[in-house]
Amino acid sequence: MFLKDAPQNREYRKLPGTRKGFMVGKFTLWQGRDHLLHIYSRFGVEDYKRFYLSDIQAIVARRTKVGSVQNLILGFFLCLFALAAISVDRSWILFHGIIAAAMLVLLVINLLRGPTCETKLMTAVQTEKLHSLHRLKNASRVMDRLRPIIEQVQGTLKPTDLNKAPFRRIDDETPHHRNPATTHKKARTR
Amino acid sequence: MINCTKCQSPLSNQAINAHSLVACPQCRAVLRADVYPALYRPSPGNPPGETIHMGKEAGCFYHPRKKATVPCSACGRFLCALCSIALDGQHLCPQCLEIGKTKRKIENLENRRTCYDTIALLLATVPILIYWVTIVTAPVTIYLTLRYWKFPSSIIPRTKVRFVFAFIIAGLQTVGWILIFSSLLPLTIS
Repeated sequence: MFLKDAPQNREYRKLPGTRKGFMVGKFTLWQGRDHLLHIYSRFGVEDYKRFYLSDIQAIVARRTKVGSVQNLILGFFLCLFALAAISVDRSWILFHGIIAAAMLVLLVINLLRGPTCETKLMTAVQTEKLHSLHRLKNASRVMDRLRPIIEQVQGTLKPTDLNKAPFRRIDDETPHHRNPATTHKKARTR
Repeated sequence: MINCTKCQSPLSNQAINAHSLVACPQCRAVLRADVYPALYRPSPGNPPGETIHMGKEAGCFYHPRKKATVPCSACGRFLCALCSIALDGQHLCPQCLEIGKTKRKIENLENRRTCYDTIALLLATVPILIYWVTIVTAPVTIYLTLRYWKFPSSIIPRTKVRFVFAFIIAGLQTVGWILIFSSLLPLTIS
């Protein structure tokens, strides 16, 4: 039957973390046999980037303040609408109450998802931002999961080896491998 | 050694491969940096290809004066170290690689795909909000489903459930429009 078309032996396994772009688009990260697959999908079109396990030099996740700012904004609007529901005209109590409840739900979800982060993956020729790993919880989980797999391919790095290597700078995203979303935006504005 | 992704200052050896969150010594940004042996691997550079010294040695198809080291896995042409491109455990010549990319025979070279099943499902569901648009979108959805049923969808293996749902929804919309028009027809005649 057509519903059994997906092979049993799955080549790709989904890694934790998804990021939805503003209005459209979704970023996901998948683990293949010998590479990671970063997918940006929108309106039925998918863009792929592959990072071979043997080429990955470093993965760096840095905590950002985006989550805290989101919590502050949501908290502010929650207080605002909750106060309005209590104090302002009684005919609007339902409207203000619903919005305050929605803000509360969003705030709780955001708190449960944990702090945000920016994750970058470095190879010899590129530095890519992994958009799907924008929550610290997911980034740590993925890094824990990938570490033994990459070490299986590349070997283990001894602490004494760290002094031997020259300094490598993690630059901003490589121009040729920019996020397709931002590339499209720039193309439209031209 | 690598740098902090916020302040760009070099990270200490203690901060690298700590497998937990550590603070940057300069900016105090909280981060986790996992570094792998590939960072310390010297760049291999391009192999120049050995020149043929003895007359009986096999030469490269593209560079007859260079010594052949491996046959192309697709066409069998002899290749020198310069022409051999290793991909998925195979050695391909530049021409076969190009053909594989243009004809989509090598999955790992694809960097974009159009998923017609997702498009069909979107086309079947989103226009329901503006119901009269479905008079056009429903037949288009049915056409897309039938036309692209056998087309490869996402690189991540998945079932044809999206096509099935799109076809059912579009079919119901079409039947609905037929019923509406058939009920209107006697009224216009009379």
